[in-house]
Amino acid sequence: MPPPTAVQRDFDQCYAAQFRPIAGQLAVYLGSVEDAQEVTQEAFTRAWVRWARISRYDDPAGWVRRVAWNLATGRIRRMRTALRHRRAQRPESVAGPDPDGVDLRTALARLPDNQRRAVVLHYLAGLPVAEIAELCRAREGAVRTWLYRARLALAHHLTDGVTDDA
Amino acid sequence: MMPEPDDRLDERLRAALGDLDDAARRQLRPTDVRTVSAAGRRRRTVLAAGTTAFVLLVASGLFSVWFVGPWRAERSAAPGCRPTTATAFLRGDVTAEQRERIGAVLRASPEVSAVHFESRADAYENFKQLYADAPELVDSVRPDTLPESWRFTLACTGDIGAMRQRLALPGVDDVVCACDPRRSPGRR
Repeated sequence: MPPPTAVQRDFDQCYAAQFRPIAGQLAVYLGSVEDAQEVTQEAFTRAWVRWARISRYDDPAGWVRRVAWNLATGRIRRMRTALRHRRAQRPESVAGPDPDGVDLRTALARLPDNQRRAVVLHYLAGLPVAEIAELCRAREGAVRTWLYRARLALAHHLTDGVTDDA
Repeated sequence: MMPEPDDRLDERLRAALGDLDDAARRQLRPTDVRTVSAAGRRRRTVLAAGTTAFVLLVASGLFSVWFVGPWRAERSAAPGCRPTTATAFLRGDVTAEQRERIGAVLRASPEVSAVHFESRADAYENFKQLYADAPELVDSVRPDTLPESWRFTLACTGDIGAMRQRLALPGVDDVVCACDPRRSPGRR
């Protein structure tokens, strides 16, 4: 039984509105646009199967994001990411030379997985610490520690490009 | 050298990550939503088939529990009733009459489900088999060293106490049960 058209329309809208935000954040986390796209598409496919139920949730996109992030985390565990980050940097097709961006990308790639995930979810997805903790199945204290350490590491790279002590 | 204020750092971090995010979004080529829906539809068909199979499996499992369960429970009605083997070793000076009387008591006991006599020669043969991997041990034992015994099986381990009392007869040296925690007779 195909979902009623209203439900399908609802799904279409969610897909159109949420695919890029979710996949974009995942691309920053994974260091690969293709991987992010694949994972997000898989999450939306899973969502479609249950959309009649998910669409009634308070935050259907949140369900998709959660599934996508879980898939991404699983994927990252299977692959060494630093390598792919480095590979992704070389042919820069994005918006001309961007030394700060490349530097940040390298810095992100060097972060432990937990820290990178927390940083992307916090600064990009704008999730509160409690939600990140739930998503990562960690305690809030642990998430705060990840964020703190990641910030120290990334701040170093951010300030490197700027001459701020005159 | 001024330490950078925290919120300024947060801001810059957010902005820098946002740039990365924007770059990634520009590169994204989302598949048409109809492709995703079609994939979902196929998935649901597979899921439905899988669920049906699962439900059937669970149902048949429950069926067997409901219908076989009571029957099984009936067979092991007495809790903690596990069969065990035991041995009544006879004294070296046991008389033929004592030996027969002990056998008769065992055969008359309702708790005992099987009885047989083991002569010195049988015991020696069993001993040799049991310790085939330790020839020096076998060599140290002569055919007439080992005692005669009555070997019997109890349907319920719990009855061994009653059997010990009943076997407190002239000619019995010791009653040893496989269920005894520390020493156990050679298993048959």
